[in-house]
Amino acid sequence: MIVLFVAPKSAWRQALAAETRAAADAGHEVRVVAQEHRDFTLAPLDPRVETHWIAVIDPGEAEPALVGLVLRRLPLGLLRLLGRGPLHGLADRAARRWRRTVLGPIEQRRLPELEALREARRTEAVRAAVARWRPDWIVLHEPHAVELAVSWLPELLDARPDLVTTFSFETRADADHAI
Amino acid sequence: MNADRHVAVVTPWYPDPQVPYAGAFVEAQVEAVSGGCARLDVYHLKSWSVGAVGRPLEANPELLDLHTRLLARSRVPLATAGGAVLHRVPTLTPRDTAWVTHSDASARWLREALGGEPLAAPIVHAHVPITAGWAALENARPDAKVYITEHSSFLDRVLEQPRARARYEEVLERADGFFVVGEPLHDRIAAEFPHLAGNIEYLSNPIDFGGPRREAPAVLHRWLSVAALNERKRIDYLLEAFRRCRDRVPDLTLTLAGDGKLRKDLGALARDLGLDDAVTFVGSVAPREVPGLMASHDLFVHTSRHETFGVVVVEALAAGTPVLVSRCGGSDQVLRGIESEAGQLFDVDDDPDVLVAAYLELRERHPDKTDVPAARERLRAQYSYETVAERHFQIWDGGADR
Repeated sequence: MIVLFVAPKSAWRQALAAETRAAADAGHEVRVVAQEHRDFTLAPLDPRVETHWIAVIDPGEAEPALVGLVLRRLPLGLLRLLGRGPLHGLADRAARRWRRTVLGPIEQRRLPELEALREARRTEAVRAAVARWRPDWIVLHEPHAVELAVSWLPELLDARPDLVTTFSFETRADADHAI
Repeated sequence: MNADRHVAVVTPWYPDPQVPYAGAFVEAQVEAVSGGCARLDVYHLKSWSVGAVGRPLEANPELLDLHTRLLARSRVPLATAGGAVLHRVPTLTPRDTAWVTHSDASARWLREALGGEPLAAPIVHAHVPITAGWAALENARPDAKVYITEHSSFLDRVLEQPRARARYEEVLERADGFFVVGEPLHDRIAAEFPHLAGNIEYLSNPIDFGGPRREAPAVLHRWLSVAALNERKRIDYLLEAFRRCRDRVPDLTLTLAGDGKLRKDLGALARDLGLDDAVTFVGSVAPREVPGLMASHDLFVHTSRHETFGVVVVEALAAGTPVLVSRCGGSDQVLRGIESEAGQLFDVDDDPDVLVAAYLELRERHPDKTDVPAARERLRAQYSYETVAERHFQIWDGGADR
């Protein structure tokens, strides 16, 4: 079977690595749609797993180009240059202060917009993965997978009632051995 | 033994591939009692936080409908300890600090997972009254007996919320048996609900006594801590005290098993204290690896500020390893009467020299004036799988000791 793990926030990476490996060991074709996360180096996915990575949207991507240029790239770039010389301590402190006092409030104001952008990207990625791979089995691996699925899964379940859905991939109880 | 027992265990905590040590004591209970049951089903009500902060679940009816539909079509019985059957029930909860909403969510999603039917088992044993305990009471069949064990270290936060406190009182009244794992919890609940204090009994977590080391260590050089890296466990205090001990005994090493939000800070502190070569962070350890880890060290050290039960202290002695532990509530009870045989207790104090003095005193006494095998045997009589399973069977079968 084609088993698709949906993990749009990559919330439970250790479990994702373990369960996708178990699914591959069980002979399934395993696909994952998950958000990029540097900690996947600590819990790497099995090479047999085919992955569609959702790129992380940085706060800067959600702001107007002029704001990004004048308040983010130019001042931080200048401080980076200064930081290469003997004033590196001063430049580092100034950059931290700039981020905290100038960029922080801007990012806070734009947070709902940023979240909407991220949500749209994740939904689009999950829809694309489902359309591309036509899974027989979907594992909704984390809470956000269920939240996002509201926009696409009910329709798919109506169309394909035989589609298997679960919240994890773990060893099933053997009816003969279960007490 | 009554092998006809049909039991349902309902719990918010149970090991899973993401957190293999979460609720390991519930898994141990399942393993201990499964041999005496004809059928044992575990319902793991793991909290899945959804929605924006403060937004109630009902604000998203499409999500509720979808999750109900998914629970109905995603019932997969999983294999777990002792041949029991595990049912994962993702419990959608709002991002809300009100415990009563978590309590309601637990009952709601268990009901949906059961398709609106009550739990089939005539014996239901739940863990954590405010969440799984309430869910068990609300979903048990009318003639079922419902027993509930409290383990939680966050009880104060529950009881300070009026609605949660009222819910807790109702659970305490309705349960057929209400148990705590240690004295600190007993005293806290009895003080809060003195009219119901007579309902509260003790029921221990089972501990594996299967594989002790051959003999107690002759020297106490290789220290071990098994604890989450959070404020309550006071690992920063341990590092400072360890450094002072190492100034006197340079051969000392310290292994820190466990993970937590302070991991990075504690790593930096170990470096700042010049302990890079002496301290090893091994991260989270699967429960089955704990006995071997205990047996490969000379001294188990526990610096916690507060514990409801001393699981790790019993695990250390079960492996034949002497202990150096703070008087944090649970440990005091566990070691009562065998303090000097087991190792050394010290007061919870912010001064690291308190631990240093306790270590030096233990070092003087050990091994001639300690008796770890005797302490181990005493604890085995109270906490072994066999003893704790038998206690469960007495309770479930309406035994005379209740």
